[in-house]
Amino acid sequence: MTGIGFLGMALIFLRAYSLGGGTYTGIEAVSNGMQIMRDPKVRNGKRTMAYLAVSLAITASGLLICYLLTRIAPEEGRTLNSTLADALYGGFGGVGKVLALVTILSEGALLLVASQAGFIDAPRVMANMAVDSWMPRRFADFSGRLTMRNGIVLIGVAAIALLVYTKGSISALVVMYSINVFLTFSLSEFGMVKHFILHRKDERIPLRSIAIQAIGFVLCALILILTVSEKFTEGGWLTLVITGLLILLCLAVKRHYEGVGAALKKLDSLVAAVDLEKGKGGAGKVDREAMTAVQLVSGYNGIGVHSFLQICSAFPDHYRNFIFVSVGIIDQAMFKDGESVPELLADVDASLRRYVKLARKYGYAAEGRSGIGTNVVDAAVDLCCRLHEEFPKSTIFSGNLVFSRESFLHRILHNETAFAVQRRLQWEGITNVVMPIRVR
Amino acid sequence: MSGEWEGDGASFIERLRLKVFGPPRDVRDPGIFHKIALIPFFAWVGLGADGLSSSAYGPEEAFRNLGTHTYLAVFLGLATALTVFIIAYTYTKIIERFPLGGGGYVVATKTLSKGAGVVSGSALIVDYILTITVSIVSSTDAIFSYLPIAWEPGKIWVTAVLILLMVVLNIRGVKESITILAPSSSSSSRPTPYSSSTASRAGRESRERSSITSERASIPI
Repeated sequence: MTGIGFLGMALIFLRAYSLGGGTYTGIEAVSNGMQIMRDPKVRNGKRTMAYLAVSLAITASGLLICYLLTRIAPEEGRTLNSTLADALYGGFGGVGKVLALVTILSEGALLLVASQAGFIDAPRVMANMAVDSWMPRRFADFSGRLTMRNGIVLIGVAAIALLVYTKGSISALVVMYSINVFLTFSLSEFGMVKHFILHRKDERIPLRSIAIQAIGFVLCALILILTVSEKFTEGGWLTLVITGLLILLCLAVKRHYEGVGAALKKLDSLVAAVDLEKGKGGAGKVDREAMTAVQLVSGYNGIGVHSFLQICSAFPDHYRNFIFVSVGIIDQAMFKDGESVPELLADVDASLRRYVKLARKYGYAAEGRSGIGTNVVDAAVDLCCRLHEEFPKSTIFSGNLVFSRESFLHRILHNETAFAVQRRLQWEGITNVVMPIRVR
Repeated sequence: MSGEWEGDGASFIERLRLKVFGPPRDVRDPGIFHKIALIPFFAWVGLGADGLSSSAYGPEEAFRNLGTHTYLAVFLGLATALTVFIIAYTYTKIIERFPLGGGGYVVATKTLSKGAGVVSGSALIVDYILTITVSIVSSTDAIFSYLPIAWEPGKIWVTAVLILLMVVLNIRGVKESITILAPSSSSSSRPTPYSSSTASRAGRESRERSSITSERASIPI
């Protein structure tokens, strides 16, 4: 212990501690994959976390102690764990060889299972970000795309690209990996510290919790800073560049969606315009045998009114009835916001009533139909099929955004709910017309 | 709908595609989410393994960086165990506050700012891509430890093939991919009713026009 002094020893220790940051990677996987936990989610999630912490702490620290006790040295082309397994079982002859092999093979199998976390969680993070418009919305369409085929392929291709770039060097990869993990760790823990401090009174958070959270943040930030500064030239820069590019991409996607949102807002002036218009009157009751236009709407807004007027002018005097269909989407977010199912239905019905009033003003017999579901396409198709039985001479109308210069990017960024509905309806033998909503 | 894939007229490529990726799912099947959502045991294996498996490469990196000062491994072991418990504790709190998942992205968005959220989310996506590469590279490293050193150049190819295999398994559906890798013991257990908020929220979001200006769509605390 002589020669380098306490400071030198502390520095070596700190360096090894932070470069071993790879050990803590994966703890975050449980919190990200909560959606696939069985109910009660929180209890199951916490229990998983506890098992994970205990098993990881014992295994990781146990391995470190064993490396020391067996006095093994790294061998070319072998992992330290396989050398350790040989050293531990070495005394048992042939049986020992088999035991060592079984140990390492099961480690390999466990790692293969672990890679699955990437496939489970990455699409879910992408879906969460897509909901907030940071990613193409189609990534949020988990149900539509079924197992998120595109996301999985994209992730797999990126994983292989990283493999090729690093030539399969585990040291380089672990550095990149822990930088990213500790970036989210630090941000999450900082956020939680802030949250705890802000809510310590109303949530009665004990000081101890805040202290542990703060220690966690300091540790994570320390490991992040040390790893980046120590390994910046050995892959550290690359992971920062890749993550930086992804952030820029997210910002660009968000900007695009916001631009489209602003353009669509202009249509809302139509609402005020039709409100001022005098009605023709003469709307009677709906006649089941008459020509019926079924329009899919969502909320009373410019887009819906625009489509309605479009149908009127495209098929003058053709339809007698207008049926407006709207779907309320149930999710846990809704319950958390304090909105109940009856309230959601009431919202949907209120906007439907406005459409019905509008159609009557234009001389059509009109009704509204609301539905509720967890998936908009499923619920809409279901409602439309039932309506078609009720009104055999009906046509379903839905709207889809059209851009003046439709690029490859537009096709990625704008999902085609209308076309998904259309495909299913056409299979049922129901005519569905998709009306354009031009975005300038 | 699936009939069109099974017809005699299907080309070789189509039949191969069917074999490898499985038949297209009937999107109208109401039980579809039961099949895609994971039975909790498998979820636990899949997600828990990610944390535990890092002991295959984490401690090794730390130990190698001690150089000749291996005696420090005692302290390193203690510090490692302590750090694991601290991080796990803080993430347990995150689970309590954000039970719908989303992890780092949601936490940063909700507690800090949207900008912090996008940084955290992007880092997470790259994190998970690296989870795949690191785990599979480490897995082949372990296996190749017992193969002749002359075979070393083949390692990267084996790794690439394994990643491709995982992609294929995942395209077949998340559930199957863990059932193949984990011992199947709970096939009789009741499937979890699918209650993911992502899917349902996604459903709402996918209606482009309703949500384009909606802020309500963001994830709740």
